[in-house]
Amino acid sequence: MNSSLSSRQARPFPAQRVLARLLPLLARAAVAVIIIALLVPVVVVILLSFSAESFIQFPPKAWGFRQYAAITQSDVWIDAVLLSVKVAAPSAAIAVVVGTLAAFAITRTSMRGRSVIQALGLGSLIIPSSAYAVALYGVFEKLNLLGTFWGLVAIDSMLALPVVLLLVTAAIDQVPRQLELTAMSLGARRLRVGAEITLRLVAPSLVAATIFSFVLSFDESVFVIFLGGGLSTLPAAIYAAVTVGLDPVITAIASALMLATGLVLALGLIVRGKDR
Amino acid sequence: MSEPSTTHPTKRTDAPEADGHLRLVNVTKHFGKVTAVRGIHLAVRRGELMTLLGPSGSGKTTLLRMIAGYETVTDGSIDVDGVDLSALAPWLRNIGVVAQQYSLFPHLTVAKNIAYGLAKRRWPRQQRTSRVDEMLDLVRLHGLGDRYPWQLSGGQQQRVALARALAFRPTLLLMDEPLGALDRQLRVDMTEEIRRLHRELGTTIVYVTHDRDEALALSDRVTVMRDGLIVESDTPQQLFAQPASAFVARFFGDARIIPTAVLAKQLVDHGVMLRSASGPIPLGVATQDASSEIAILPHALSQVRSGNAHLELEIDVKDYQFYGDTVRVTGLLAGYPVIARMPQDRLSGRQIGPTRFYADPADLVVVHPDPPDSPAETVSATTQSPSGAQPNNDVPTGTRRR
Repeated sequence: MNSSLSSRQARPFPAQRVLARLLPLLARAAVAVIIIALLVPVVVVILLSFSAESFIQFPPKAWGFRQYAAITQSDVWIDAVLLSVKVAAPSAAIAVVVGTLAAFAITRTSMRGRSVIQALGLGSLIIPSSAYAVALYGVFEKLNLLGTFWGLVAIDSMLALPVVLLLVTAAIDQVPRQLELTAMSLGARRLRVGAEITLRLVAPSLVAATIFSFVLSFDESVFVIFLGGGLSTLPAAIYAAVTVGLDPVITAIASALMLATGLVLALGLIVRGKDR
Repeated sequence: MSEPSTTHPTKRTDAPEADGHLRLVNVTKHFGKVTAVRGIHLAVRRGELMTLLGPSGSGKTTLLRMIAGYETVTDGSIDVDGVDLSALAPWLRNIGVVAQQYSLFPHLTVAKNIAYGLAKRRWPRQQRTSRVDEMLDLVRLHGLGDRYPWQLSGGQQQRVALARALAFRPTLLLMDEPLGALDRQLRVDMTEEIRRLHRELGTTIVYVTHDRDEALALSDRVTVMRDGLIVESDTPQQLFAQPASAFVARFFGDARIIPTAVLAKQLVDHGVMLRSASGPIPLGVATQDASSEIAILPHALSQVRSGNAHLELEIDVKDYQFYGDTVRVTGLLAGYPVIARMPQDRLSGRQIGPTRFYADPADLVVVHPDPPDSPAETVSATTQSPSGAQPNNDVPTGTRRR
């Protein structure tokens, strides 16, 4: 009886055996397809950015840096990059300050409505952005914020808030309460403990949150098109350029943007990694 | 702060005294519907090292946290030298705290950790550095001021925590299971270290632990807590040899409890004088209280008859366990489990089954039974480990015996 049991375990039914071998293969194939589908357009755009032609054609007949040169020759693109930076900087700052304060309230107080703050803070992650943008249009019109710089800042800081909340609450949760209590017993008031101990220990996560917020705002394209009223941040400028016609300079801008974003996000991950 | 420590006081202190340095009056703590601490009265003398001992859930840590100001007091008052603490925020209390772990600031060097309390009190820089050096010498970490906490061993970290808590000359030092995270040898070394610091500085210390051996070795006085109440508060010697309650006899002395009437049936001479916390009492008198119980301390029993050990008892021996300096014998006395611990030379043999034992009647202690509302089987895991062996720190003491 013992031997029959073990032989059955050793030799499962043929169908089961085939399935057991096939499933991991299928899963890997699916992952490969997804990665290729994501990567192919990226690779194509990067290849196209080194085309030396005045229209988009794949594969390009001649190679060169013509598209990259074109970026620097036009004020449109430089102005767009500058405006994006000008919007992203205050947006990131506001998101990090507000988000960090909210994170403290959520993790370190017994305030009523903590969970409401948390849910609302994460809200913009859940609502589809186009629906959100349409709804905000009415609000912005009433407040005369349509097409204004600070209107954009307001939207972008709100969009970045969930990232800050998630990163900073997770980081504060890692700080042992005992450290804060000990600091108090040593004579530090509550705010001092928050600044000298808790904030100091989550500083790497604050840097990461700032970088992520900045990138999020810099890259934001949906709301600026709905509510920006012609304010030409980089994504808006790219969109405008694409709707008019296919200027191959777009491929160079897109490539540069991907490179810059990738580098900055990697930096953010490294800084945050040091926190662990 | 450093007035001379009174030589370790040994007189009994059950009630708050007028000269108490730290006084707790009717201190009570509710967490929602749960009552963690039920009207505690306690006085700690200046320079005393008092241990709060009890299983987890007994309220000892809550009591400590209320003294530190980490928790508010639901009812009652806590004062130090007549100053009510309840109005003071934790940072104004001038109380040093050493916690079990996670207590050093990881982003500060050892020296800056120690100086933290001094900086908050705005000590001038020069005094700060000299005090830090002084504290480093005191805890024998000279020259390690520039290290970061992660570069130190667990024992060294706790010594830094101790130095930091003492640096600003607190009126009171609270220690919450400071040795709990250390291994056995380090615990023994640190026990010695804490006693030395206490001797040298004379700081009043309130020390929380669930470890009986730690409490025995460290304390001037031990306050045993259970279910948010004080069971007994006395010197370790007194609690060990002459407990007043069955709970303390079990928890502190590793004793086993039998009803007095059962013992009386075993003995012919009812005039024999037994011990009790309120003085010697004849067996016959103790038997008159039907609920009275006898604690049989492990060292009370011997297999060899000697001067004082003359009471004959028959014990049904189940097993002998060898612990190096002593042998632990488990068995039944009239159906009740008992434990005997004796050196080899008081062992007549290793026979299993009914065996004759001799007891010194002065080591049979008449105790108050456990209150009926708290189940008698509430014994910490520590209690069951023989006193010479390492108490098992990994087992939470709240584990109810089943």
